[in-house]
Amino acid sequence: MTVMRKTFRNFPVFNVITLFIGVVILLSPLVAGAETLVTDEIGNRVQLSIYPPKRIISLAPNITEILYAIGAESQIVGVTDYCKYPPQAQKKEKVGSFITPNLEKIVYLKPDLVIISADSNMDSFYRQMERLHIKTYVINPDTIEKTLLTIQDLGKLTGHPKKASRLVKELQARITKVSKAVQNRNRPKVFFLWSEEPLISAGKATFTHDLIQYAGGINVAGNSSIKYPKYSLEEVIQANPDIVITASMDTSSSGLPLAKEWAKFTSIKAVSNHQIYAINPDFLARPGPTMISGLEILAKTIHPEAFRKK
Amino acid sequence: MNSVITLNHIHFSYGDQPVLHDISFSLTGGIITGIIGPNGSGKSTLLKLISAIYPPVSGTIEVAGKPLSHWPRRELSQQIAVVPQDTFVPFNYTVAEIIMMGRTPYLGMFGFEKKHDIEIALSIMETTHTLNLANRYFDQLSGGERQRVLIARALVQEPKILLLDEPTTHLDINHQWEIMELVTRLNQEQQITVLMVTHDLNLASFYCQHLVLIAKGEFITEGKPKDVIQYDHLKKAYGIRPVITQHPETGDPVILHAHPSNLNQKESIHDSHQGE
Amino acid sequence: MQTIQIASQSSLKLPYHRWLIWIIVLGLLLGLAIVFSISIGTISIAPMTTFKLVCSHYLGINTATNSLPEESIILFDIRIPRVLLAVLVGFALATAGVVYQTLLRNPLADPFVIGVSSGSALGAMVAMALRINQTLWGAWGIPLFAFIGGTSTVFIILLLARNHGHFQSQSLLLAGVIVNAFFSAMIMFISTVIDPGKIQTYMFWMIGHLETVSPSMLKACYVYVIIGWIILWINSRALNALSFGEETAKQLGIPIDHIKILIFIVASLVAGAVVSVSGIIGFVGLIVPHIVRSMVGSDHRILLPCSALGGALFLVVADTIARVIISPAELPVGVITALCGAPFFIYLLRSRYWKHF
Repeated sequence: MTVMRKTFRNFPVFNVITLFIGVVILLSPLVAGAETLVTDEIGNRVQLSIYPPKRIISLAPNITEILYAIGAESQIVGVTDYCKYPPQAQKKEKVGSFITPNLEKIVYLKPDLVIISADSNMDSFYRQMERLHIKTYVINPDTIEKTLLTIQDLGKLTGHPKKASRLVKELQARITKVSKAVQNRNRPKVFFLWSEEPLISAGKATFTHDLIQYAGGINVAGNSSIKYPKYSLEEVIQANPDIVITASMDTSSSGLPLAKEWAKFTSIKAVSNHQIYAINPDFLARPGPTMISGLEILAKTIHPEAFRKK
Repeated sequence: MNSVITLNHIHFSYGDQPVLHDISFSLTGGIITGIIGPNGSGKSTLLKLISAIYPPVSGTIEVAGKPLSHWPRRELSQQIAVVPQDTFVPFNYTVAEIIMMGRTPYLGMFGFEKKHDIEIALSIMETTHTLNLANRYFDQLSGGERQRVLIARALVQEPKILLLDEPTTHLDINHQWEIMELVTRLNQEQQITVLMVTHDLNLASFYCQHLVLIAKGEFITEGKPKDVIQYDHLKKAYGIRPVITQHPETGDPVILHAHPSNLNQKESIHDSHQGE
Repeated sequence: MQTIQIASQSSLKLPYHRWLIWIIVLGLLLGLAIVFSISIGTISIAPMTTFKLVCSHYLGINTATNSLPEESIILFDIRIPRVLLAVLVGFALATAGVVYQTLLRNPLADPFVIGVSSGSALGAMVAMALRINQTLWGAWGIPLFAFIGGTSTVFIILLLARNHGHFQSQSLLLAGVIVNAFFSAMIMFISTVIDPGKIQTYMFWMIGHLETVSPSMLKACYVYVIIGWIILWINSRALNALSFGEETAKQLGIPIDHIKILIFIVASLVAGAVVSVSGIIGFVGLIVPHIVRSMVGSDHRILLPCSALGGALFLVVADTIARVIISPAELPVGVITALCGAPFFIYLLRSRYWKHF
């Protein structure tokens, strides 16, 4: 005992080090489990009691896809019925659709965090989550830029910032490649269809619009402030698009039914030049990594000459 | 128990449509009075004014010496009860329920009947021979049965004055007599004052002690049947040339159908024809 | 089925005892339905656990349960509020249905037909389009607007049906039908113009939803509906008399003009309040009063309590089915009420009961 006292008195550095180690040990649980305050993409402050969250419920297919891409798979405990990408996601527990999520299931899964997209039936759901004291984080990726930001945000949120950054860099590179390829080229008028019956396009407040811009086209519906405006055939004839791209769920990949139906409207440039194409909607529906592949496909469709192997 | 109704210079219009013009008369208590006249004269409207459904445009109505406007509805319904021509009830009420509703002006806030109410209803159902109809649905009864039930409901209000609006229209002759016998009995046994609107002149003549003749909203005359049912009055009110004779048993005037002297000129009415 | 019976030639039996039995029976059935509904859902909770949790939560009896904390949350924060809301909405809609049918002397009247539901829904949609929930009013904004919409509808109808200070029943019904048609068209118009993304929310309003109410809103609506119901029940005498028309009611001593307006407004507020929290749920206000009338008669002293209990029972059962039939997904409760209500109604239409109309 006396030796100890002598050591401490004679080696003040030792005191300091011990003290410091002691404090660090004492404080470390606090640091690790400290309440972390984050702000989500629509400005709400979310107080996380566990960081990074270990039990996440994703309420949109693109959220699920991003989480997998940034390596957060093991932190996901629940997904929606429609979360099919990547295929492994279908093995996770289902909590309903993002429009009518099943509250009981969500509560039962004891989530640390629920991530939801701003597009869905958010308001009442958000209130319910508040009432049940379940932390909810809202993302809002309505442009390509914002999608990249979302990937970053989710990376930081789930404790995978590095992997998210790498992914974003990769995707950014691909985007830049596309941009370079289509810049200085004439921008054809593109009429994009999410639905053929009725004809529904994408207005300027959608990521679809952003994709078309980046892919080197002009979105015919780009003046509409309505997110998904309905078009009549007359309006299409009047708009006279150069290219028609349909991503309707019920087309075959050749777009034939639409082309057949419109064959007699030869006044439409897209019809007379046989520029009606179909793209698998899966590539364009989820603001996330796959969407960049969709961008590449779109660009190749609009400017095939820019991507021909020389 | 005699109650009197007095009408003073009553004018009434439905919106812009004038209906009654300067009507004045008094109802004597304890007798059966009939209001007669062509359709559209405003006879039924008179009953509505007396039972305070509408206020007159001008003039006053007094019941038991008090102006109608001073009568709270509840008390008024304990004085005057109305038997409508018929009633359409789109619900599944039974006769007993309907008759019991006559006690409404006497029931308390929550509307629960007491023993006394039941006893009154029961005795009236016996008087009106509606006891055997009690459990039947109202809309499945015959016209005569319905009238009896409506009379019973009115009587359950224990009124001093009974207003009847065309009580025998649409009824077969046997039911007509049945109803009128009942009314007469009520008047004689219980001294209920009766005011009856009817377009059946012979019925009015036979059963009423006093008649008031109204045509086109104007008062023509009033008095005993033999004074009112006269050639000149009827010609003025209806534009007909009646043949009037006397009832062999009571001496009351009886109107008989008559052909106009010129069958092809139905509009022409010759003053020269003598009625009696 | 008659209420007053002739027991013998010389006595009229009043139906009060039978009424009490009806109320007790319906009350018990409702209690059973509530218990049943609380016990089932997407997540299975053992009945014993449910029982113990409920006992300890409401009765303060300390029961040793091995329950998971999620089970408590599911039970007390999700299921029970939802079932209580179903009780409230069914109660209110059936009550309003009875009153409208009597006031308008028309068997097809109910809060939806006469436009109160649509007016409330329109109010709610206007609030959503204006993004009221993002202003100071927050979550209270939407139900408040719905409430204003419903009561405005009542006043519009009263204005339209006014005739020299009188309100004829036929005019009220006609005005209601016209207003309903107009507001429904407005709702459709707004739906097609605003984002399809919000269409789901609008659908919720048009077909009904029993989820999104906060405990304080629920309590407030309960107080409100119960007070409204009591006012209506107290006026049973007037309502009975009104079944025969305004003239007869006047002649039976009811000061009809004031009471009619009071009853109409209170019934519409009762209906509007619940539409504002649950959207338009059809059939309850139309069907339940008729089923109850065919069982107990049309005397409002028994018709009102039994219809209210019957409406609550109907909706609790319908909501339970809606929740579990395609679990974990959910059907909107309005679908179930329509699917169950329609066959019932067809049956009624063909029965002796309908011959009264």
